[in-house]
Amino acid sequence: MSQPGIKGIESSWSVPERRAETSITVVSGDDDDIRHLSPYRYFPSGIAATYDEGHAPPRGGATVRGFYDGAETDRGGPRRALVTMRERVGPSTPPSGGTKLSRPVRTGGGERVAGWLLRLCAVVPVVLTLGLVSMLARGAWTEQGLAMPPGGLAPAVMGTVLIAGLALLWAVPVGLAAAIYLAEFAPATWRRWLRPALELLAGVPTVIYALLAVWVVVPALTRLLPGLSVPRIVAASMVLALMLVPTVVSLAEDALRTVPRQQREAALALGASRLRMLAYVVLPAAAPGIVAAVMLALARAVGETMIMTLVAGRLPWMGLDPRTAVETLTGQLGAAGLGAPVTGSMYTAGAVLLLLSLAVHSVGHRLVRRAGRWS
Amino acid sequence: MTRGESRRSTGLGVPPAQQRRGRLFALVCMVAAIFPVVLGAALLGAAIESGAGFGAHGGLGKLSSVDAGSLLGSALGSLWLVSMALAIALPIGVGVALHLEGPRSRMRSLLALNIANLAAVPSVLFGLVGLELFVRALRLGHGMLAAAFTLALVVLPIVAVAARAALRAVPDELREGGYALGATPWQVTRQVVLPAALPGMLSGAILAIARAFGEAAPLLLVAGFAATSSPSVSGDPRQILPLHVFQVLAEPDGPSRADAAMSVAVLLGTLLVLAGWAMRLRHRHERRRDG
Repeated sequence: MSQPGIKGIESSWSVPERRAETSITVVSGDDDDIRHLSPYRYFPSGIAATYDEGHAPPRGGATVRGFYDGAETDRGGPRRALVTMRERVGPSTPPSGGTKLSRPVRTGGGERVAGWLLRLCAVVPVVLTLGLVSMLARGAWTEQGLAMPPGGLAPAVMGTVLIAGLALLWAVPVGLAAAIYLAEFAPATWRRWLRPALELLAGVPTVIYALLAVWVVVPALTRLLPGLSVPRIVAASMVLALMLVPTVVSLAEDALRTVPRQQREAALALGASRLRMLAYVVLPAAAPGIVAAVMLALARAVGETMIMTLVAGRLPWMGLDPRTAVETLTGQLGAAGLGAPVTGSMYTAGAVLLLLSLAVHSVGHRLVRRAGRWS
Repeated sequence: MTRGESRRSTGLGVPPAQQRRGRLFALVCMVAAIFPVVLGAALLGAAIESGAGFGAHGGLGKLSSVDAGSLLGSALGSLWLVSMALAIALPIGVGVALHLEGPRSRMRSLLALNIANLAAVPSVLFGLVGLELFVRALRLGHGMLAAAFTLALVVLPIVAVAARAALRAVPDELREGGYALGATPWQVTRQVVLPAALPGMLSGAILAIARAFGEAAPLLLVAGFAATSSPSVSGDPRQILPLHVFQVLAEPDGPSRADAAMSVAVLLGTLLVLAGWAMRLRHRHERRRDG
């Protein structure tokens, strides 16, 4: 390892424009050397640059070109930076030779206040998480033990799994095919229009999806298939699927795109058709990412409330025919909007919901990260 | 010599039957990509039509029965609620993202994991937290303020994740250039990093606004449908667009269908404008970075 330090500084300073251009070449050693070299300018990538030890930039505006010799860093290669910063500090006094600098850097009170404010912000999510868990636990636990809705939670869990699973059954094939189209076949213009359109579909508020199901899909299903005894469940899953397709598409497309081009070309060079290349090379390579897409879509389905409450749920005016409605976890919570009092059993349902969706999500999250590491 | 001829003469290449299958598959995939968009648009159109009844009665149809006052009230309520929620969530979310972008540590990676998990928590659960924390513990009542805090909790992880992505997209060279000028870390953040990350953060914020506008689930619990509470000073959170739609679906003798259809139309219009804006920002940003 070479001796850390400044290899060279070249500076030019033009008085009329009040601009300084400084080229700095720095060789960095390990952290301690850098800290010794430059107490204030401590670079994120482990490269330090300094004008002169502990001194401030020239007054007025300045442009700095820094050439860093990053051979010893993990980034590798020489790096360049070109930045313009303007500071409103008095009249400029060009330093002689461009490197002799006058003012020591102040790390004053403002700096410390900002640091503490950011730390305070960072505490909020932690508090929120702890609050969420503790409130669910406290609300679910009553004098009689764990609060349970009449009939237990099993029907709600079953209903959630049923509707979410049915929705995935629609959404996954369509979403995967759409992702393949966007990643493999679509011309650029089509892609430019289809992707935002699908994203828009993901952004439609879920109340509106519930409304679609109740106003359009359920009547249409009852008209088309009069014998169908479970139109609400089917309608809920179909509308939910429409909501999930964009999630599947965007994640699966990313997964398909991370498959290296060399692998595709190798397959084609061996005489495979595009279809074979997809089936034998691209899809297997993208499989973790595709599974992750399905898992994240599932997590979204499990947590979806409005569709579950309004379409699948046991609404008071829907009658008590057990075939038309199904209990869901989020439906139990959403019942608060239908005038049901908030009871301990809601917290129990909430706790189960939290565990279920976090479990599904973390599997998906881990797979996404592993899929990202593929290439 | 065309490509087809050369293939026939050498006997190499993909057999025609397979080519046909490949083309068919591509067609199927194309249909799959277009189908959801068309279906969604058709369903939305049908829903608004069935509520507002443009065709059936000619001209404006049932629109004359729309309670314009209550629609305007809901729209204003939504606007008020969302601005309060964003005013709370945006600074904190950006702060969290800035903190996460500091020097790497174990604490920070745990925090990042925590936020990723929070973003995955179903939004109804934040309704329970809001009910317990803001309505009951802080005694804010079933008012707009409690609803805004709850909504802020829902969008906080979204804002933080988007802001962090925007910060990460700022090239390190810019930061290092700033440090090379002798700027303090906070000066670099304020004068170099934040301006460079602004377009990305803005498009993230717009997405958060769009989400907050349509979010109804957590508000079901906070708005106090069960409680016959007197409206709080900060406004009645039941008077917002998504809950307006909800009430039509939940109570047959609530607001009329035409009202709901118009609420849906307003919500969709807002969403479209916001999404278009975010997209344009992203495009311009990308072009500037490439160019």
